[in-house]
Amino acid sequence: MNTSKTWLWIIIAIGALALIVWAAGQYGFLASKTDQSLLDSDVIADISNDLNSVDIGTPSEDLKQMDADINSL
Amino acid sequence: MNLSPKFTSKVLIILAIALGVAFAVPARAHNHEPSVRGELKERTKDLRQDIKNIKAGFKTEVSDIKSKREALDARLKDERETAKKRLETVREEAKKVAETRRAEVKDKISKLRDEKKKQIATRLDKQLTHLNTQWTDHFNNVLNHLSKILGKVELRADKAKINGRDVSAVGTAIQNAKTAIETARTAVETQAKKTYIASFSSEDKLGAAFKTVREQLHKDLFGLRDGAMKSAREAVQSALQALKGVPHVNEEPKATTTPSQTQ
Repeated sequence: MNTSKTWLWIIIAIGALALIVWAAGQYGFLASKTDQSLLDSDVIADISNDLNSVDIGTPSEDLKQMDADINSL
Repeated sequence: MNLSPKFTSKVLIILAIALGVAFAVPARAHNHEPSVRGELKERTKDLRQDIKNIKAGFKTEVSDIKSKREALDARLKDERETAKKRLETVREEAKKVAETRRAEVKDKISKLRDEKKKQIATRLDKQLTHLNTQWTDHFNNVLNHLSKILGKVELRADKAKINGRDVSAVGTAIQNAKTAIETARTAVETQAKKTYIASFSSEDKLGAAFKTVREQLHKDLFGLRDGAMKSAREAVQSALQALKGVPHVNEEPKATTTPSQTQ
């Protein structure tokens, strides 16, 4: 009697878990890693920061380093 | 008045049956009406179908974005590799073309009487080539970075489009930025093709010859930086600005869109 009761509880627990997993899937809580990176990488603030970090640079310093040599010729 | 328990229970049973009949009959009568209940059932069915359709549509759009992202990654990788190869090719071609002139200058430098001047001239000759390579590589990397940023703008605009926003202005700005980046890539290649060799006729004109070539390199690198490179950056900035103008642009596409047409 006790054994069958235990089995009954196990079946109920498995059913409840399956229901929770299904509900989580329906509401998008189980998104894959690819989905996550797709969602996270392109918000405006991130793109703005990325663009602000682009430094075209200036060759002035590199060219100036040659001047001492040129002047000594 | 004493009632036996047997009698009481009989009365209760009868009352219960009566109540049951009383509720069941009107309900059945109600069922026979062609009416509201059936109509409601139909509408619920329709709504469920609409929700199913919206969810299916959303899944397709999200998978479209995924495949677009993958295609974009592949395109950016391809663009990077192609640009790198093109730069290497034009450098090799330029090296071959200038081979004779470079050999002549090297020969002249080796014949200089002043040993110190010989060392300095050799160093400067190498530096001129090195700086052009270094800066064209740097500009090429900047363009790769700008392309990647523009790709992100493109993806975000696609998501906004799925959410029903008007992104036509962003689309135009993205196209302009792509053109500007391509123009800058061509300009970088043109710069990479250039060779900087100080030709001199006599030892006393050595300094002036290197000064002239150095000035030319300065002019060319700054021209590229302040021209095509800055234009490319500004074009990407404009695309981002246009994207910022789209309302609720950071919203991710959701499956909970209200069905606009249920019938």
